[in-house]
Amino acid sequence: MTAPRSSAVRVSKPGDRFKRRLFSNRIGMGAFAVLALLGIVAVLFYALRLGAVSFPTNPDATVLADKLLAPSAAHWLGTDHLGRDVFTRMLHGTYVSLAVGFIAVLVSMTIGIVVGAIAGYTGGWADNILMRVVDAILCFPTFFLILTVVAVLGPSLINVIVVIGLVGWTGTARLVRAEFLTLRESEYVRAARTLGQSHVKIIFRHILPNAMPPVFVAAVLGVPDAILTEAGLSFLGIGVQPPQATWGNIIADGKTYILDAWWLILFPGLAILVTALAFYLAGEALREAGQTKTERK
Amino acid sequence: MIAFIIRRLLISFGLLFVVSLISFFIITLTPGSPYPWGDLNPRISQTTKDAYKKKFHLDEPLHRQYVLIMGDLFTGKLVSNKDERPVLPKIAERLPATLLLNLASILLVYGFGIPLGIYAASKLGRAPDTAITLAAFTFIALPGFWLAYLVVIGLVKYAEVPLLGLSTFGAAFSGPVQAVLDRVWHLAVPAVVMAVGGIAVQSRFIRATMAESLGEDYIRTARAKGLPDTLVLYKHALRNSVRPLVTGIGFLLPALLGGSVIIESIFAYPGMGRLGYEAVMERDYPILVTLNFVVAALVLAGNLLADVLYAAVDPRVRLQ
Repeated sequence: MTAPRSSAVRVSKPGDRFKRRLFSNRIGMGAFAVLALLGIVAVLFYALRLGAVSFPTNPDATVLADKLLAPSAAHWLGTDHLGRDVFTRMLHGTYVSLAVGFIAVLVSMTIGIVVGAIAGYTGGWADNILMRVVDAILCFPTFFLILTVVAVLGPSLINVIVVIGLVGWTGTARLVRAEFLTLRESEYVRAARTLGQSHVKIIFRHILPNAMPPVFVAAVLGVPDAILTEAGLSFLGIGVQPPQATWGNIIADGKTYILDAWWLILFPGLAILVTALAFYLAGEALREAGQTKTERK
Repeated sequence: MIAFIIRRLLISFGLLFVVSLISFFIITLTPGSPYPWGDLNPRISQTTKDAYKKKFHLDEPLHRQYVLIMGDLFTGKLVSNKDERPVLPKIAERLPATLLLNLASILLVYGFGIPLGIYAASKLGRAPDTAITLAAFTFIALPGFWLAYLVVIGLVKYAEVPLLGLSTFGAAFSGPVQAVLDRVWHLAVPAVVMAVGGIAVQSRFIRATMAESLGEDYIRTARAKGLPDTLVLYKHALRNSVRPLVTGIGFLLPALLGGSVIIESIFAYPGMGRLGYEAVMERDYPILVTLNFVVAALVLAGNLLADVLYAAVDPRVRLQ
């Protein structure tokens, strides 16, 4: 029997349940809305910077007469020790935080997926060696390792991104490897092998798409980690260098005036907190929506 | 079991070797010099520079440097590039402060994280669970240094109390009780700031495994035969949720000794984190190599301990 399209009886596609659950998660949807807003701000102000347009005000313009002003109608979130408008600087710092988060995660995911796929698919000695490399990297205290490498390479936006990415791939590699170990023994992969498909095609066309959901969730949860690490590095003065405005930098500049200018500490920190929280909640919403019935109990 | 431990020990020694190689080369191959003076300082003669290089073996090829530095490390002769004091006592004098701080913070993490996680799991999907989950993610998303500064602003500005270092200067003159209270105060504030994120993470771990245990058939059976809720929760479910706790014990060793760079910097707390940070900034190779080596050894020992403990607490786990 073929049901008419408008009928309530409709074969549901596999993604439907996932979407339904995701859209009904109000906290998760709120988090995605916050992220969308941050994304718009980031893209807008990056475009402004590329175009060298100083609108609404130049984030690096110093007005020494207006230094350390408390929040007011003219300067919504106050000014810093050089008379720069904190709100403007925070808007311009948005893309730095998001770029660090996304690109660092992209780097670490790429390495993690490749290493995990090779280790899990081939097994044997390659697996053994790669996993021992992972073990060796996990022996280092992460933040300290990043700090050391960034300090010696010279602090800059690109170095911070690359180093955070290069250090953070071990978790993904383990995750992907575990998925590959189970999936490579599954019926459909054996079928593909029997049909004589190449290893590359089996890895990328058949196994990887099925291994991606947990990796994707890990990626979303990895972004705020990278953002917090960048903020910590900038705060110590070995992150992104001035005059580039970043949320961590504004706090680092403000720490000298901590008892006189609380707004230099409070607002950029709130921005970091809200951004990281939105990513964590969005990742959690994705994870919950993707869970199978047995995993939910 | 014995065979497992021996094999793991052998692998661990191999890993330690690799780690020491990596840390040595990351530190030495990068630009910057360990001289206590500027590279281009014209007042320092070539002879002085050569003498300094010779003293710390910096004139040798890199592989010789590595062998010499590791040899000195194991014979305890390694000295700091900066003040020529032996490395091990230098580290040992920073250790107690960090140990105390980390111990206090770990006690807070377990003391609050576990009950919160259990409570959240017992109310799974209901309002208290949602509230704890939101609070936990908020605390995980808190930048540690920011929280520390807010605490400093609040306490110093409005309560006018001293916070920096190990103790207030002169506190010992006000009597032993005041001196002890002063020490406790200087310990408590950074410990709480450090523990906040850990409490949140710990509660998430416990909640996840407890939620899993609570979905099992034996829990339904226990409930069906009319056992009280607390007994089901604390005896049946909790016992089967110890795995993350055991993993936690594995992380405990490095967590106890590794200092937090940021928190120790903000509170001017003289611990391991500051020692490491200062060593990076001053290119003090011997200190850095030793610190990395010690931490790596502790991580590996912790992992091994956790694996052995798994087998001890869970009869289904077989070590091979």
